[in-house]
Amino acid sequence: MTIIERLERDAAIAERDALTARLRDAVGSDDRLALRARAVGGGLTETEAEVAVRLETLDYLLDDSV
Amino acid sequence: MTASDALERQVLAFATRVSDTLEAVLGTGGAQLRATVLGERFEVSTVAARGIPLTARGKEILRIFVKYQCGFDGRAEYLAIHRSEFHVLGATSSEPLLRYEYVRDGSGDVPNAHLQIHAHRDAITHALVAGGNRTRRARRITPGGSTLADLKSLHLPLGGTRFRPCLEDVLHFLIEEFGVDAVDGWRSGLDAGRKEWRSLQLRSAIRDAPQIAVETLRQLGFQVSVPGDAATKGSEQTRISRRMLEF
Repeated sequence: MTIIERLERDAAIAERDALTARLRDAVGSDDRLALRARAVGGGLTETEAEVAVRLETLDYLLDDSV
Repeated sequence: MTASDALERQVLAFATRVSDTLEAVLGTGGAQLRATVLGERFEVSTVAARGIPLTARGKEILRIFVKYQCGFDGRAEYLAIHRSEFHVLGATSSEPLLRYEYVRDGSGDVPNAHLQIHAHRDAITHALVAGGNRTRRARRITPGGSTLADLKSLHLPLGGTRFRPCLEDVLHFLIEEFGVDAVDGWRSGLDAGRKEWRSLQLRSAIRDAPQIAVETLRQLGFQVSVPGDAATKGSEQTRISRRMLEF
């Protein structure tokens, strides 16, 4: 069973900005490569990891360059 | 049907295939996956960042996190997986044990499809430190470089875009090697998913190198006619896509 979530661009941008600020406050960085390294190194709490995963999702969906 | 409806159907079909495999093999049940859609892109992943539990003899021993990021390919005809991740984690640690990953348009200095093993082996570290400096990645690891010389920094190649393992292969490996619990009939569920995946990949590989397909069919006794202008055919039929040659 799958939950389908359809995002609007403006709302996704706002959510990404809010999550970025939250993660920067929590772990001191919003550098995506650094966050990724910490996440796969087991260096994030479960909540922080959930935020990092969501940010990766939003970064991908909002990226027009690929 | 609008383009948006068509995309939603593709998303649902893709997510259902993944969900069906998990259900047919692990009997996971319930809402385990989330499909997030924006414009012409979508992501399908396990709902929890640490993935879904895998049990052996009824007790959780591992977890698996699954993620696919998808959109349409360059010609906007075929659904393309831009990135996929199958992470195998221990039951209690948040650091993965194994990472099967694929990046469709990667940097070129690591394999697009690769496996990273989060473990340590002194002999690997020794070989990395003693290694040469011909490439950018090798220079990162040698003394004075910026990367630790450890096993998890290595991206072990898995056959590129066309020949990389699918989710079914990883689940099969976990069942065989770790004795992960699976539902009755799991093998047929795996085979069905694997057949669908490899059929899709084979079709893509044929589009990558049609001349090889033509030659092979002729060797098997088929009569294959090549349509269109002969000159065009010549260049088109001998073309081998960069996908077939990638690292």
